[in-house]
Amino acid sequence: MVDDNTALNRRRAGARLPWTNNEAPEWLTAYAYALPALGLTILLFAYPLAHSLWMSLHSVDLAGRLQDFVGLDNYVTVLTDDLFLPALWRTVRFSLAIIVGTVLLSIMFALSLNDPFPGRAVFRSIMILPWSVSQVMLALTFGWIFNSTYGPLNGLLLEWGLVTDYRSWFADGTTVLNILSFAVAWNLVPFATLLFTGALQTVPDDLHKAARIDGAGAVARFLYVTLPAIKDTVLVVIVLATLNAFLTFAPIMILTGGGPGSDTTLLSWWGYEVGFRKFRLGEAAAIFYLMTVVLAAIAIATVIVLGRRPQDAQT
Amino acid sequence: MTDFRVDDPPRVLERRLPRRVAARVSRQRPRAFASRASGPAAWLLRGLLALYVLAPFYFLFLVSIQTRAESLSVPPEWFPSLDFSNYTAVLSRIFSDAPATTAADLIWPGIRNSAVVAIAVAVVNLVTGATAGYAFARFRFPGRRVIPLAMLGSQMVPSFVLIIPYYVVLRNLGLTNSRWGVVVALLSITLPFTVWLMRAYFENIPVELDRAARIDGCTRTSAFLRVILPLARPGLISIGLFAFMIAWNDFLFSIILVSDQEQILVQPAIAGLYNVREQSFGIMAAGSLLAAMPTMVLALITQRYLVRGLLAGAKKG
Repeated sequence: MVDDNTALNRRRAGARLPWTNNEAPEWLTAYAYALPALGLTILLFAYPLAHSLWMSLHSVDLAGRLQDFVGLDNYVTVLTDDLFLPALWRTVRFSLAIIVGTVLLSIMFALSLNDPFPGRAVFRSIMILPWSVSQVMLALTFGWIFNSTYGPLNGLLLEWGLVTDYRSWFADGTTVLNILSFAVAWNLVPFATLLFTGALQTVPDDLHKAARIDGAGAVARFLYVTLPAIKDTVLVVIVLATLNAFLTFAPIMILTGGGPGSDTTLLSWWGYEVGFRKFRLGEAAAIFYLMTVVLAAIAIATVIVLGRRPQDAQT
Repeated sequence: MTDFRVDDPPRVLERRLPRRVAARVSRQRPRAFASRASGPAAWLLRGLLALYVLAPFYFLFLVSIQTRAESLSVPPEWFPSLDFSNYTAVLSRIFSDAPATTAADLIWPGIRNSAVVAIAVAVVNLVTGATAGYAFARFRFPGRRVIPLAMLGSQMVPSFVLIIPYYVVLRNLGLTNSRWGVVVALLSITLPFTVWLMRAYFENIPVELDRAARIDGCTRTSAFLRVILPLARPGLISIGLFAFMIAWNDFLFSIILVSDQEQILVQPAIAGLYNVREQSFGIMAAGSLLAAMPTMVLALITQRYLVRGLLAGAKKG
């Protein structure tokens, strides 16, 4: 398999490629190769990132010009805003729902696809579809499904006799947030399932056999044999789900506008409102920086908790 | 992908076991090994999965080929009347130069503008990302380990942080209302990941091939262009697609950095179709399905590359 080469190549990285005297030194060639991407990244990513931080420390006028240096005033304003804590709590809850739902559902689905069966290739192909559509498409699709008057969901529920009256799904804040997290999870689960099916194929069969002989039941074998082997993928999926949950924006803008009340005002939407509706750009920059910090904290915590390997603990 | 071999007999184990135990193990073998759902439970899960993935698409497709009256019937009509007027309404703009009057009129211009943006983003990613990825995978120079890690870390930075400076700077430069401003902004979020993925990909190609090429008289550059780059084609396909999809599906930058109707991009264009008051759900469904077609088709065709390419990156992560 290809992966074996990585380790080999890494080990051999110390040995130089052969080169002749009429060539430029290796580091110079290397920078020449890397420069376009590196330069673009610094110019287009690192610089705006720093500029954004700088803006969050200033008072900024409506046109985005920096006025006075105000230190952490923007952060204080944001942190003491009545909307901050609820928005943060909502974002965390929303993300947790998506993370837990995505991981559990996709592992379950991946297990069902692990054995060869007729039509498996087709299955794998269609699974990429939800992942390939945009957040806007998600919003439109689920906005239609949950439409309270004409939407198919109310129609189905009524036809099956599960409800006696049409429900207006977008009236209650908690319900709306659940619908949004379901939409985001719908986008993620099939893709995560594909990642897990890939990972499951690397689980050594012999370990399962040995565990069976030792009398381990199906649940124990999953917990002690399968799960450790796919832990890296679990990590990737958690980080992916967290990122997607925090970046949920289009569905809120299109379907709810942060409402009813402020029930679906997540950090992302709140920052957008402050920045591009009220044009308080300094405060918006502060909100987005706080969001980055929360996101980074979650990612680092995930890596620390799940990233440890048993052999690391021993050495 | 290599499939599991279910019937791989545990011979070594059996030989060392008492006969009674070995017999039991062999008897149980057809029921396969742990963590596989099998039998009716697996088929139930598979059915649920298919429903879960396809039902939302079906509901959207259904309403897109219904007449307006059918789409507004209560309870809903479950079978379509194969009315394609919603699609023709959207696509008729291909042949029309008249100024747009409705949200549906903006879909085709949006698709056209986004095609330019997404292809530009993909091409710049491919050219600069592939060379940089090669440099980080093969050459020894200060920063060869730290820089790619920083680039991976940059993926955790939400694009919202970048949008404010982009908005301010591009407006001062007079580049808002231009597709190229969006191209620049999208490069910022795609390029770091591209470099990371390409580096992972090149590291999987044996370094002996470079050596052999050099010994045969290639310069560094021709070894890269003639030997390694052709081998990296699956990786290139996956990053090109990836960049294209991110650009095509982008909403945040597209809606904030472009306000001119002439320059509208595809996602803001279809977002404009959601209008509960007008109740034109058929147009909304047809327009958004058409707008999603390019990424859906590309993803279907190259599903294998996408997943494998991402896994290659993920394993290092």
